Amino acid sequence: MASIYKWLNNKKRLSIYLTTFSNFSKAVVLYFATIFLYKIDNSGASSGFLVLLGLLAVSLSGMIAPFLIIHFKGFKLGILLSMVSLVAEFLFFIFYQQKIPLYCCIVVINLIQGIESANYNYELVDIFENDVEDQIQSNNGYHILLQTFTLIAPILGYLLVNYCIVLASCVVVLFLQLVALIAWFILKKYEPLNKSNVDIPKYPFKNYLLAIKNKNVVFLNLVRSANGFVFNTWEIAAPMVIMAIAENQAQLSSKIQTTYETTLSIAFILSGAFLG
Amino acid sequence: MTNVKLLPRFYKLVPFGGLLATIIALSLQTMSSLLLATLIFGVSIYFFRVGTATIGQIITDKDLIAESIILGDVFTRFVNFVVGIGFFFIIKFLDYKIVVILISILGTIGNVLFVDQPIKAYSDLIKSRGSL
Repeated sequence: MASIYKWLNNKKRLSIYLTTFSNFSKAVVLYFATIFLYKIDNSGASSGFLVLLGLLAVSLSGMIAPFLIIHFKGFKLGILLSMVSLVAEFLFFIFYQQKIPLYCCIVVINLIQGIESANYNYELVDIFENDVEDQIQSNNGYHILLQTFTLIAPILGYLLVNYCIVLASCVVVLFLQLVALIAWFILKKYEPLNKSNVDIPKYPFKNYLLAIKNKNVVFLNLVRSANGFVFNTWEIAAPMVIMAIAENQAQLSSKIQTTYETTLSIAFILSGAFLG
Repeated sequence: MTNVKLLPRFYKLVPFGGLLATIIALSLQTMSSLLLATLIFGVSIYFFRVGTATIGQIITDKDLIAESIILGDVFTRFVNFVVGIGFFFIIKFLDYKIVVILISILGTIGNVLFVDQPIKAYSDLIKSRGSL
């Protein structure tokens, strides 16, 4: 109990963890879209296409993120992105029954998620400037929490899609996003003072060229891409496998999808708990 | 806390876990095989994500860390997006199961070729610091 109290009393870390509610709300939206697409396309390809759109959006976010991080100095950006997410998620629930607007909303939501991810990494480095151990622990905790929400999101999404009206789903998603927004407001108090004096570089791509010249960074990214071949291709193909197992029944496939997503998250969390 | 010394060993095995899970799920196509494959995927994804984040932050110069993370995200996702587009194109002509396994084998070979450099840099830095 004492350790839980100590953990909860660390407002800095707690706020960092609460920002993951933003990912939680987006995971529910994505799951909602996946299940809805099972109902209108029984090959599973449309649901798999959502993964591809996610990759495109996160890739685009990497191009926009540096500009935003430099001009809004991170913490303000966290608040701004949470507000934009609220609007995008609201629009999703208005237009979700039409395929093209649904895809557009999913691209925007993934785009924001990508920028948030870059922004989180940028801020965490600054907050734990001189404490590598604390940084690694927070990193570990943050990823485990993200995966915990990924565990709950399919179950919540399944219940919302099958048993609740769209209005209730919309309220749940927007509430989660609001918690993340409040967490960013709290986190802004811990913004390092020297950050506000950061000059906007005259040549914004200079540091990127330096990063490209770093052999270790280049090779790590090649490894990431190679691993991405394995994981992303599977994620794209998973809805097709699920549809094949469910023999093209949308209702059954949504149950298998929930089981699949939940099992994936349980395996991730157990890895962190026992192997980490 | 992630064991900083054992992490590189697990990180090297990540794509093999993914490949094994892919073969199990695609070849059997039953509920139990899907669950077994998913468990293996979950463990592999854990070491992939935590490993990349930890190794990336340790081996990158502090001044360049934001840029390297962003560049990494852009590069990785874009490459995988292109592969994904290719996947949807190729499955018109070939069975999707064969395509998935071929791409996974390609990824595993890529990992074997490139993984030593960042892991060596990470291990050297950990050794030079003594302990975290």
